[in-house]
Amino acid sequence: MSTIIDRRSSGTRSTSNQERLQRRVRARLKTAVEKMARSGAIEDLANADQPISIPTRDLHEPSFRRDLSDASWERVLPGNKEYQRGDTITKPEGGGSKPGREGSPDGLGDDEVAIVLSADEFLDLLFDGLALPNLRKTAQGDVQAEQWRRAGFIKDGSPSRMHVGRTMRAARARRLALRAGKRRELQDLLDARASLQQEIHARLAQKQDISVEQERLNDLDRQIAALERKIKAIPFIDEADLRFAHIDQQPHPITNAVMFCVMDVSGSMGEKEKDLAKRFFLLLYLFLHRHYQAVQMVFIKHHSTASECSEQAFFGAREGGGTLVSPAIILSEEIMQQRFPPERWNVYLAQVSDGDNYFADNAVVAEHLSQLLPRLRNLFYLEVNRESESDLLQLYDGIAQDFPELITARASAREDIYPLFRSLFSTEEMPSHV
Amino acid sequence: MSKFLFTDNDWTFARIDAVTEAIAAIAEKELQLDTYPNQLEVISAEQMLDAYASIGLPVYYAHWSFGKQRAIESGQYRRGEMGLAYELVINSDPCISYLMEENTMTMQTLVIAHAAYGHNAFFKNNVFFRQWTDAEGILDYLAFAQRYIAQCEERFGMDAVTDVLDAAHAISRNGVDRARRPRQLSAREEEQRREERERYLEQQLSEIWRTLPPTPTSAGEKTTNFPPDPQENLLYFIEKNAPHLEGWKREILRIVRKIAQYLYPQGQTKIMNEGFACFVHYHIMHSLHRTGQITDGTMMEFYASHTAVVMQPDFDDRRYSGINPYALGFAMFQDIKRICVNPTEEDRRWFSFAGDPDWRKQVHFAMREFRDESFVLQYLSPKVMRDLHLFALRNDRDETTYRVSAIHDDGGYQHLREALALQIAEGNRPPDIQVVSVDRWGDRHLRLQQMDEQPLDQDEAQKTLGFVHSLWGYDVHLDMNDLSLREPLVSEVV
Repeated sequence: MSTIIDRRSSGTRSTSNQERLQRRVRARLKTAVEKMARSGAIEDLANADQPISIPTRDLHEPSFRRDLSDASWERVLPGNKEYQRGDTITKPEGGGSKPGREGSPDGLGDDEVAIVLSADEFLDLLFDGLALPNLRKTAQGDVQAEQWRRAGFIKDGSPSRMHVGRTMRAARARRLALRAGKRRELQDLLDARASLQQEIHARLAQKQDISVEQERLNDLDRQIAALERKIKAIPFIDEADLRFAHIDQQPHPITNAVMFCVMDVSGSMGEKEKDLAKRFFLLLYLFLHRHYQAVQMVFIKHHSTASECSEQAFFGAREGGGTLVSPAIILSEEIMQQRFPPERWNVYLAQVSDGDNYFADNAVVAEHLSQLLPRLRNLFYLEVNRESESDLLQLYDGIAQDFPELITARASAREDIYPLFRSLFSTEEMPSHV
Repeated sequence: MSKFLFTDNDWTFARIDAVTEAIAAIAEKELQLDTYPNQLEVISAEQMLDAYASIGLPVYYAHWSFGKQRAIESGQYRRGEMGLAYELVINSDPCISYLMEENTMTMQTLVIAHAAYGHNAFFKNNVFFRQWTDAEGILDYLAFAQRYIAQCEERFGMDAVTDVLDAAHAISRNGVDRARRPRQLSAREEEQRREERERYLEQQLSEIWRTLPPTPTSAGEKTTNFPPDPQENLLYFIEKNAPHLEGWKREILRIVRKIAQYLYPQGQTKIMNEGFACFVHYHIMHSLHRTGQITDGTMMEFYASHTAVVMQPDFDDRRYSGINPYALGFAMFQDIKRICVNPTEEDRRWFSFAGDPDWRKQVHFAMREFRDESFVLQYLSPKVMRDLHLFALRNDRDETTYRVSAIHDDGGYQHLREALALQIAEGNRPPDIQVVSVDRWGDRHLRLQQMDEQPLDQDEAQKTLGFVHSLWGYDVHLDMNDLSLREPLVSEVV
């Protein structure tokens, strides 16, 4: 009468409801996420589940309900200790008690509900509507990458790719198909033989001649033997059964992109400047990793010399010294030539600096930039924490007149970084998609 | 040699099997319970939270409000403010009971006795469940509903479907037939019906909107009222008569209405259902113990959770949150048995069945034929009222004090009974709001009227009216006792 089923493995089914809930309060979640991104530590935000409180009034479900706060009522209560009929009890001040009010489905009168966002959901909201600008499907002309993909099964191939399961299945099907007809025929013959033998016995019993029947019997036996041979001769496995897993080269468009992150770590970059720079790069880093699988990142730090470094070294960088910008630009150019030829890659460069540069270096920078820029999709230059525009920024702005790929911005406070980031990568004016 | 079913507290499938068998024997022989076949499903805590969010139904369509419910409950659960129920049981055939994997073997035993036999027998035998729900077809129907609403989301967009569901949910409590029994349909018939309805609706305009008079003497018809009698089922009325509602929206209203109808008896029999299940598990656990199948330790653990479940905090206790249906129901069913087995002089005055040698018959009769309101009116005995120290408190809006109108004494028993029955009835009923007229020949406005006395929450009513308006498509009025609301305009005092 009873069956027991273990359902534990079938997992939860709340995802679709969860998704609809988040969709409903998306605007509010977004505001909350953006607020957190402005002030909080982004590393922490991106690594853990984030509970975000949403006021329940946003999620209120109205219905026709009674409101007994200002009505007459009678209630039965348990636990009488001393009351007698006719006793009176003074009402609480302000008439605030609403014992008759029907239970609200929101439960417990909490006016906030916490929606827990996973790190991915958090980042999705954080970077909602952002994309790499000017990304092109194929870098130049019709250059496409080829990729090996599984493409079904074929009857011919190298032994190493033989698919045993499929082969055995085909063999079995062939054996069944080829045997079925012959088996049926054999059965008919056996039946005929059996009835013939009965006839022979009958005739023998009546002492009649059986020579014709005997001949027919011999004939049948021969046919049966022949059929049995044929059935036996059907091979267990045949060349026609062989199946091979097929792989095929399929063209797939390149959306490879590389981002050069260039950060000034010279002595003039104080703690605050570095914090702003790291914040920007961290957002960039999370954004690219969340949205693009194929995006490569190159980290370059520079003071008077420039060097490529690891991610950890980049974000933990503490150095000092004077400032030269050109070595970083030159290094980027070299790395690009060697590893990321612009005809195959969408190349982006993001540079953050406080704008201090050795005066004579500006001309060198200008020269190299004008060579570099035509091969970049974009160059973002962010200047941090300056009272006024630096010479370097003015130089960049000048170059930007001729090269729209160069985009400059300034930020002086933590709160500026995220809005600035949004405006740089907003898809609204940029038609490109991945 | 030990006959114990288990001596340590880890559950295994083999043990659950053995325990179920032992319980089945007791349920059948000693309690003569008639039950649906059982299907016991072991689930995790997360899955239990899922089930909570969808009113305990195993399959349900997707809607944000269930996500919200889950967010609230899992928050409370994580913060440790709420323990999860040990079980959930579905009124279906076979009867599905959920056992949480965290439960100890003792708890699993208790849960099987409580849900798989107590609730199960109640579902199968209580007249309201038999009259209003179709245990056999419900799982199919829920699957159909889930599929259909998912299809609608694909065809018409998630937002459009959500809007309809929001509106339907708002009036779902007013979407239940209280007076007549709906026809039962199997899921396949349901699907077929739906397609027919859709075809029909595409071809045909609704009869009430026929503007060509059928006879030249239709002048009289303008004055006849539509609907001829007030209609209590708002969802049904809108589904059938809204002038411009698309077919799929009507179908969604129908789904919400059907499920509300299915859930309706559960709200009407909370005290009885839980009381009876507690009565059954109490009997079964004792019987298992008496026959030496469970240990003293198991029994102690059982007592601990049983007393926690049927505990009734006093009105002035911090834990008080209304009358505990488990406590009241359990006390009443136990008392019916006591009145049969060991009646006092008082019982004989109050109950004609006092001293009946067949207490099973009396308990079964009570379980079968009543709902909470009538159950209390019929069976709440002076002893139970005394044990619970019940008293009634009256509030007159014009007075500055509450007045104790009855206590658990000879003068008060009858009054307490009636007051409690009324209180339960009102708690179980949504405000009585009915469709009184549709202006067929004018601007098609829909007029609703509140038929009972107690004041409505106006803010809520206005918002709900907004939903009614979104479904109806034309102006909607609601006449309340001393006030009239309309949508889309703001409220006006009459």
